[in-house]
Amino acid sequence: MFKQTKVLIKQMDEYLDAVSQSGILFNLAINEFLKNEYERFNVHLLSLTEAEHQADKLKRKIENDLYVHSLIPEYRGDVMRLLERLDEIIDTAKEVVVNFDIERPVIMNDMTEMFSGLADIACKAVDSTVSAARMYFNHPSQIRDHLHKIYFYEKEADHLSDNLKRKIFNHPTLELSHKMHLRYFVARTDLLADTAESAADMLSVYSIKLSV
Amino acid sequence: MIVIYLFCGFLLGWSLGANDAANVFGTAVGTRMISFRKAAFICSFFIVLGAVLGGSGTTETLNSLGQITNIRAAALAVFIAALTVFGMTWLRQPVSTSQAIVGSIIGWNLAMQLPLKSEPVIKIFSTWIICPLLSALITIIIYLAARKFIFSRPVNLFKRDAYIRMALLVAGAFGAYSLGANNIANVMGVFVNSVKFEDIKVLNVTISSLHQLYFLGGLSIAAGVFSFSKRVMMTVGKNIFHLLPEHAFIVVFSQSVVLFLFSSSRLSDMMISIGLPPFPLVPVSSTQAVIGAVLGIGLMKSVASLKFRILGEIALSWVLTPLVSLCLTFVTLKIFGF
Repeated sequence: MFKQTKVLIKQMDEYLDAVSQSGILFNLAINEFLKNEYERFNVHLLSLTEAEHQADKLKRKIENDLYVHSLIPEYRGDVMRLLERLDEIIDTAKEVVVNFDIERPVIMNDMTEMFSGLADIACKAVDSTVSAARMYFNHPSQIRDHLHKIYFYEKEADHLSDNLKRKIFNHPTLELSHKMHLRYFVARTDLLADTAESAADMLSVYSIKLSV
Repeated sequence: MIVIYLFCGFLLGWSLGANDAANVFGTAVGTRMISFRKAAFICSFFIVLGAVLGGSGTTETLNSLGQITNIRAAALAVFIAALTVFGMTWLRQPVSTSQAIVGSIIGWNLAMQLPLKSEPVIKIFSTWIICPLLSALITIIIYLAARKFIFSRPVNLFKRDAYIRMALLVAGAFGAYSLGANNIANVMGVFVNSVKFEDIKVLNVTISSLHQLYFLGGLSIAAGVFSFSKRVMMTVGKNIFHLLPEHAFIVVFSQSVVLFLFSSSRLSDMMISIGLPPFPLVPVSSTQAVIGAVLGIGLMKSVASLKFRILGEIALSWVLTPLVSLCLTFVTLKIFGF
């Protein structure tokens, strides 16, 4: 009974590590892309793909163990939904970076700083989400210390992405197609922070349920 | 012929296993913390152990109500009690085996026109009221203590799950032992004066007639646990108040404590030795104890969430059970010309 518990705790920690790493790798990859360092960008993309595979494997193992050993029956549904949502974070991070690799959007020099800022803040939102998820499993009463940060970063990301979109569409020389292409990447980068926020909403409700 | 008469007792034992014994692990199985098979195995083992090692205390009280010396009458009384319990179980009502057998014994007394001793009657009837109330009170005390000293401590969700499972198993085993010790008198108590087996010697240990009776009764309870208790297990934990696994542990533990208090001769002697009034050694209803415990949790968590209509139905079944059993025994004994 306790051996199984130890294994599960380790797997969950590793899964959360993978989610956190995906946020960091996302940020690094975008920044390397903005600096036109494509070789290092590819290294980060590979690492991100590996982190996603590892997370998928761990998620399946955790779900299987929860069902097979009938663990945490009262909270199993919540944990499964949380895992799905965290998985969306990794998927979104990878998808955006892959699209950067495939579509190679041309980002104007005066926009790189804002793009970098957006990636940075989305990464911080992911990092806070992982911290909140760890608190859910270990110290549910302290989860709020992390939730407010996620909401703050998500708001900041929205603010930054709005400003960036305005800058893109107010640009005097860009073609409309180019503008729309860039807008897509702004929206996708911002989506990472949005996904982190929806995980935070879940954690907020689940932590209340955990308080006996 | 004795086997046929004893079979009636086994039938009551089976009913007890199917109904009352399910209360011990009902909340744990209902909340899916322990599998039914594991619960049934542990429950059965400890019921037999409790019946053989600690079952004599409550038998005395039951016999003081009325000693059925005729084995046919004893078999009939026990058969009708079993029938009453089976009927109520079939109606999905958490019924008390203790109430059924007490009703039968009183029915026998009335049919035989024997005087009914007021002391054991008052003793037994009062425990029917005290038992659920005491169980609710113990639950509230344990709940408040656990909330302050255990649940407030940060423990990993998976570790907490493992601890609660372990606690449920230990509390369930304790509950099953107490149930065996407390309720075996219901199953085999009426046969104590009419069935005498020869002593068996195994490795310098003498197994008396009483212990052999209790062992057989314990096995019949175990058969009830394995064959028919799953359905009732789901009723108790889910229908009155939704229980979390943490609450399930408190319910099982409180119920076990109540059953132990009313069945331990040693505890009774100890209380007398330190000048305290002892708990009467009476076969109480594990159903009443578990309902009281669930009510205690409900009162602590949310009174509005308690399903009072179901509680009312359960209370009504507690009044009906001894009455039905009493009337049926009285009429049947008259029909058979006792």
